[in-house]
Amino acid sequence: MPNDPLVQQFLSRSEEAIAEAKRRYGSGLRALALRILGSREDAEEIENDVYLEAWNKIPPAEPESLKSYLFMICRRRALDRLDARLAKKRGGGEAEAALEELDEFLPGEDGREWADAIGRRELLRDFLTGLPERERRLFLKRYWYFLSVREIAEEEELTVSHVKVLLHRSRKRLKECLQKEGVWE
Amino acid sequence: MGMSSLDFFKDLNDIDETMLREAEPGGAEASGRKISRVRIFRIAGVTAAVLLLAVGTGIWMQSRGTRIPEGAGSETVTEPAASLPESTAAPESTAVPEETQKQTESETLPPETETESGSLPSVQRLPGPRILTEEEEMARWEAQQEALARLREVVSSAANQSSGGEQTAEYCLRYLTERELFGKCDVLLRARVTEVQNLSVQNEQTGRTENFCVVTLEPGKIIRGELKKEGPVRLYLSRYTNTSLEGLSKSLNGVQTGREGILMLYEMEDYAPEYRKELADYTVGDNERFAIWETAGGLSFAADAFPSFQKDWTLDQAAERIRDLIGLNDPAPSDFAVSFRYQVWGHVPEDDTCCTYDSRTGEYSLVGSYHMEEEYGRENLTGTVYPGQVIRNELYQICRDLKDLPEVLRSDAPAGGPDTVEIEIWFRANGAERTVSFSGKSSEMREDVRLLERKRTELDRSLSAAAGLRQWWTELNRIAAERRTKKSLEIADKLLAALEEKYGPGQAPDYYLGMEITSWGYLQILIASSDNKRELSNRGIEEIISLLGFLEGYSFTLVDVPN
Repeated sequence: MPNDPLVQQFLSRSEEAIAEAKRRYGSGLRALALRILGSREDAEEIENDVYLEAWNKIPPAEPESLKSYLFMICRRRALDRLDARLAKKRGGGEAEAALEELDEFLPGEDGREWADAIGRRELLRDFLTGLPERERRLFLKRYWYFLSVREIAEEEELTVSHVKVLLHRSRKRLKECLQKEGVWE
Repeated sequence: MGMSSLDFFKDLNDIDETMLREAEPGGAEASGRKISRVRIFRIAGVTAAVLLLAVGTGIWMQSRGTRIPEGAGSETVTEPAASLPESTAAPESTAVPEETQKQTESETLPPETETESGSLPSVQRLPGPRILTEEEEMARWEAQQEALARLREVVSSAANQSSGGEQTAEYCLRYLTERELFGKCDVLLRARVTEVQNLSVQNEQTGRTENFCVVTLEPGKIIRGELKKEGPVRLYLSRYTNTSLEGLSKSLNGVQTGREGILMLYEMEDYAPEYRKELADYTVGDNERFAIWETAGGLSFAADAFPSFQKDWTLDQAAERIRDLIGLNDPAPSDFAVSFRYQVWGHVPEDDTCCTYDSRTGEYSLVGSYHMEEEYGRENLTGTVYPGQVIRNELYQICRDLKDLPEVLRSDAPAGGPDTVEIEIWFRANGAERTVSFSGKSSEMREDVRLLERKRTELDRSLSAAAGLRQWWTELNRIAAERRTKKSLEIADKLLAALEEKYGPGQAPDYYLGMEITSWGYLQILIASSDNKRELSNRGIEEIISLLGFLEGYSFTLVDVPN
């Protein structure tokens, strides 16, 4: 049985569960979706979808941390919507800028097909584990939470230039990691 | 941008939770970020509440849905001098009931004082919410846009004609028929080029430069669609036009001052970066096929895209051919009627929304969506519109494309399961009826099913383009604003009563600066805030939430005040 009492509320199908989840995490979920999609209306829709998906999946799912569970659902749904939008040549929010930053550090159409999903996740985990703690934190704030460079600088009490340098360094390491694994010749 | 970047983001989704927690964006107090807006909203169907803390001051805009501008991110946008309500007199608003007008016109409250006669004046109550006029909201929005524009760097550069502009690889274009090319755009019109500006903008965060062109057009005859406003039309193109590069498209090459052509314009998308929306109203589907130009040597156009057009035609002949293609010269049968139904199931059951339009009766209805019923009231979700002949022709042409499809298209998965859809389009013309339907997994759609999906989308577009429908939607928005205003006034009354019960008649805590109701009907509670008084504003928000006992139907606006 998970320790998180809120997860237990979901498991017992208490209607207060969603209200409490919204109270605790709603702001963060909306902010994340907004950064990815850049649209307030879309962010609201995504947030609503997150609660309903969690409500329908728990049980049988029993996440250890509801917060992480909700954020992962939120990010996945927002990225799926961004994916569809990009296919129609429509942009997103902060995520669009983040995508452009990574372009030159990922193989793109020229690289060989990435390994299967499990292999890719292991590769990414190894890459992240190998980063110094601060660089890893900045990397995830930028490419998982899609905070802007300026927001990261404020949170970390660094200058914008310093953050840019650290992110650039991490991207370079990512590229080296991919080249070492043979993903990118 | 490469698709592999997006794949990377998706792969990054399932990383170790410990790493995620390490990088989690901090709370406002811990990080020192300024809370620019706290927004409360309600999830449909669930009486619940959310306390939303906006991250950074980039997200401060209101119910009109203004987006975060590119590069501004969490730039601290300095609001114009704290717009404390100078007067509590409510501006005129037709949505305000009389009893509330009286309440909002009461004066700002002084402490109790004795009058000259020695008797205490009657205790005045706390003022009710001020109703913002559309002009006031527009003025605030414009001030915000000016502030945002100051944050961006726009470098205007004229590209050298002989040296050429930036070369970018052309992407593969999706095949579209002539009729689709002329039919999918928002506006199809004749126009003359009056100005061409090649510009560039630098993204202050990534440092990358984008080169683009803004073309000013003098509109002539509109073949299809409507322009959003009168006067010159500004068109955004994603490349420089005056380059000497070989292989540049005929459409781009044809953009020259003084030249006339037939252009296919798309409205600038909501998701476009702010600077693009500021500089242009329209864009194009792609740089290859957006225009047919009239030149000294005849018509200039992408021959592969428009095979039925002749170079030695005049622009008038081209326009006539276009009218034939999109059915403007071919009236729909008098008994033509169309309806469609679209259901989609995602990971959870979605709204079952059914849209119906019957051209014989002009009746349009939208049923099944509890979101819309909540917002507009069920009684308002039907209407009667009589689109003009152009729209009816378009509808008829759209449905004519379905004649060769089998009536029923199925995939292995029946509708109702995860990721399935159910689409049905029914139309009747010349006494014959035709129904085409599909149910199953959208990911397994075949080409004919994709055509079906496209036709349903075109039907949506055509129906929404009908002027009568647009008026109906405008009326619906007015109804929604009235309903929201009524709810907002009820909440305002409750808050005022609770404040006076706690602090005394006519008294208010130091953080409370008043209330406003926007033209969309949203209630905003004004809370004093400054860099050194964040604790004050946080305490104020918590207290108000506690006094009201619920978290839905209102927002907080933090107003900068001197320390």
